[in-house]
Amino acid sequence: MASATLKGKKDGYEIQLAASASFAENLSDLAALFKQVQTQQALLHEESAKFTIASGERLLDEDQKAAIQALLKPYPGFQIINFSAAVIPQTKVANLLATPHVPVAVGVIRSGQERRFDGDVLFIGAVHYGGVLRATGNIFCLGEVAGIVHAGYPNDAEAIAVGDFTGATQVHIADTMDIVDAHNTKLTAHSFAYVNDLHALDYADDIALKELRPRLYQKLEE
Amino acid sequence: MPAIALVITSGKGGVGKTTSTANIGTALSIMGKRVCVVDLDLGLRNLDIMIGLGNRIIYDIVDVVQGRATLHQALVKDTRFEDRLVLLPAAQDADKNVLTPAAVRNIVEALRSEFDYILIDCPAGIEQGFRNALAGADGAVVVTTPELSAMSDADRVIGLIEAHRMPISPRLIVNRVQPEMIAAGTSLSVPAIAHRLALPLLGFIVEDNAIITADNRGEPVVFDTNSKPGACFRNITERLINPQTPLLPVPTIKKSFWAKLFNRG
Repeated sequence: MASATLKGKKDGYEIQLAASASFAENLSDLAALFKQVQTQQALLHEESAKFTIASGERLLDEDQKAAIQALLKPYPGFQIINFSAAVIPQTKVANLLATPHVPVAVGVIRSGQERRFDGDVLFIGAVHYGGVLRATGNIFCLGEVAGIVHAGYPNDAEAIAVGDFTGATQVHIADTMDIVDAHNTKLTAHSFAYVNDLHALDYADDIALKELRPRLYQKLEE
Repeated sequence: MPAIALVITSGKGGVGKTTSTANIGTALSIMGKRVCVVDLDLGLRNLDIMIGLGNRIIYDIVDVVQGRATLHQALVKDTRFEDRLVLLPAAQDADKNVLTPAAVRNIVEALRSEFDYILIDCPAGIEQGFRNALAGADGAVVVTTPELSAMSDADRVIGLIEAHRMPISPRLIVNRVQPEMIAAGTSLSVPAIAHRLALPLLGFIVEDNAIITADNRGEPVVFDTNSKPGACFRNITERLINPQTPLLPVPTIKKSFWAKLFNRG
């Protein structure tokens, strides 16, 4: 069975190279395939054709790509528009792993304890009365909060704090703060805290996040 | 088998640490265990009074640490239990800072081979006395009452205990439980308190005048087989020995038909 197979696509042809065969076999089968396509194109009175080369689990290096391109020299109407593979280089994987994600922290922050995080944090647990949860970025809290949460510490007023803060003692963002008042109608189990245009701490429904913090919303969507 | 050393602590004063130490220590002795109760409340000792051994103290823990007496000279034996219950009293006139964590650890280590349990009665607060008590212990029993102030202090203490990383996880005793108040919704229930403090429940003690009567007699209430707090302390002690022992059901106040109908009482 040939190690290069042709498939018709909406925007041209895709040539699938079997990674189980050697690259030399791929090249040989690819040369035969181009010749066959050229014959068929001639019968249809067509000169041009666009190809995507899908190399599966073999990641082609620049020399290999150049070798494939060289096969097209006899066929000026043929063009390779893209090389694709089902794998990515190790360096790219390492970079992806090193990209900061929202760290997840679990536990109980008890009276007199303070837990600090650099950047954003998803905290799953409880913040007891007298405990402090502090992050330089956004705080996403799943659990009971009876203590203090402080997002955007010390001065990031763009940060938000998400969670049920109806039972909290205080909510802080950057240098603003709110002593939680049970009668505050804006503060619900489904609201988040943010710093408004007047640089005062305010609460809004979760659905307003897209409008109030579009960049964060976009980042979370990604 | 060497003794298990447990510190009985709370953070806040007056919530029942010493009462719990005296009663659990006594109940363990009744159940045949060899127990040493250690009073670390320097200057404010009263574990001896609650057990009824106040008039038999000659030496105390500070005398031992400062070399005026040997450890065995300072131990006060309770003859009611064929010497299975022994008290190491605190000094009444010594500076609070005389003891150090290392000194307490040494004393506990010296006691281990002779007992099944060592119960350390911790002073209130989280300063030197608390650090001393923690140093010698394998685990902690945290006592609280249903008041928010006591629970907040207990929570603070639990955090410090968890940071200390003891081999035995801390457990909770809720003292002064008032079923009427729970029924009326003016007090948190026992499970709610345990949930709030995120700590496994060892047991609870219902509020009852029998405790005051027993204290005044110098006889721990656990002797009184008919009293509710006595039953609570026996249940706590059984659960301490065997964690599979079921928890005593929390007494409930049943509303009468008419009270339910009219939502009163």
